[in-house]
Amino acid sequence: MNSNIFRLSVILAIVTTVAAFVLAEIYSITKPRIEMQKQAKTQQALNFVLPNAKYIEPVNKKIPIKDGKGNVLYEKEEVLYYIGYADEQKKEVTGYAFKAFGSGYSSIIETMVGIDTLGKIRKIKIIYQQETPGLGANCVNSEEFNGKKWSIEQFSGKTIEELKVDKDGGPIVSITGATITSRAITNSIKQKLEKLLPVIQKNTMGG
Amino acid sequence: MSLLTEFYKGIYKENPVFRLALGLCPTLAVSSSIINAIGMGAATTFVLVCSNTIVALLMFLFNKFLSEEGRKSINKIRIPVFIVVIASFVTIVEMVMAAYFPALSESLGIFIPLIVVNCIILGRAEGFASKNSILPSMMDGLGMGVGFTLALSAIAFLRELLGSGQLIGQTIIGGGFKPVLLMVLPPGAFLVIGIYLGFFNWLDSHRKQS
Repeated sequence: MNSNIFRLSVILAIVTTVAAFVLAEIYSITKPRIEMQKQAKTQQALNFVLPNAKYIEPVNKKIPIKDGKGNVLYEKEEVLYYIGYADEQKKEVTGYAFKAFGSGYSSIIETMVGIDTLGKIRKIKIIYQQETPGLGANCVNSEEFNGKKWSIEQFSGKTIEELKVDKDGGPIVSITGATITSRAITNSIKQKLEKLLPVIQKNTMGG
Repeated sequence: MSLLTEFYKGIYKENPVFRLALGLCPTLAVSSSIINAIGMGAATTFVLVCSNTIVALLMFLFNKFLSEEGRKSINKIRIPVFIVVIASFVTIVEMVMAAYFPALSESLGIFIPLIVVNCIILGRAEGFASKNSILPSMMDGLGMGVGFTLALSAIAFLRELLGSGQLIGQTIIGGGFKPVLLMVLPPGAFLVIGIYLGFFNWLDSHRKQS
């Protein structure tokens, strides 16, 4: 009986060790590429929402990660927002960009938002969503806005007060049959913008 | 001859979704558009072929190098071993997809890890690969995978067409057509799967009579 358990353990250990080695190897091969894809995607979204920025720089914030006793274990860097400069010498600021996260119907919707120096929205782009195909997934629609159908184009030129969907009495035309998705995107942008506006205003005044 | 039979049986005679009614949870989840159906089908096929091959190989090694008593005891841990093999391949698919096919990995996202618990895969490992040699197991995995992909696509075809008036993202029925929203939601999947299951059962009983 004892030798039996021993034998089973050894076989299981061999199988899992081999699997672990193979996985570790593939992980180390794919990791840099996955990082690259993520960065390329962020960069692409940034260029889209800040079309006339020549140089875009992230503003990071260090977030201390603490253990249970309150000791700082390490500091995690998180991008607060991006500054878009009109020239490569970083003299003139043309706008800012940030990511907004909103809980939609079936996913966390990630939106990249570009604003001008006064805080008016320039362009937005949905970076990630897993909403219902045919309904909420239509939130990526970027057709020319005709005043009747949801399009991410309708956000251009909107101020913070105007960020409200039609069901809540605002001017944003929501997606047919997907109010939750529309509201999630609109409100997440609004909340993040509320936090950032004072920071940006201070920057503009100081510079 | 027998190798081709192992392949073909997965497509119609033992189609995992329509005949064996296996793997219905991913079927419900990803059959709302054809692109998703094909992507999920391809990923599942890859995992099925690999896991079937490795399971058959492992069983072959066990049978060759272990004593009678050892073979009996190995039976007790065969399921954990299968799961390790399957989970490893699913993780490989997930990482490779994220690295080289970002668009596909984005649209399939959360469904990829679900392949681990797709009962088709463990079902074929336990029901077929553990009792057969390597080549037939590979063919069985390939056939089952293709059958699964075809079944998913057939369901997605109806759901996407009726639910959003589109096929592969292109608008097919425009104009006055009002999409039946129910079809892209989970109840629509149940309806369509039920209709297909009924149809294939009818076809089968018809063939047996004639």
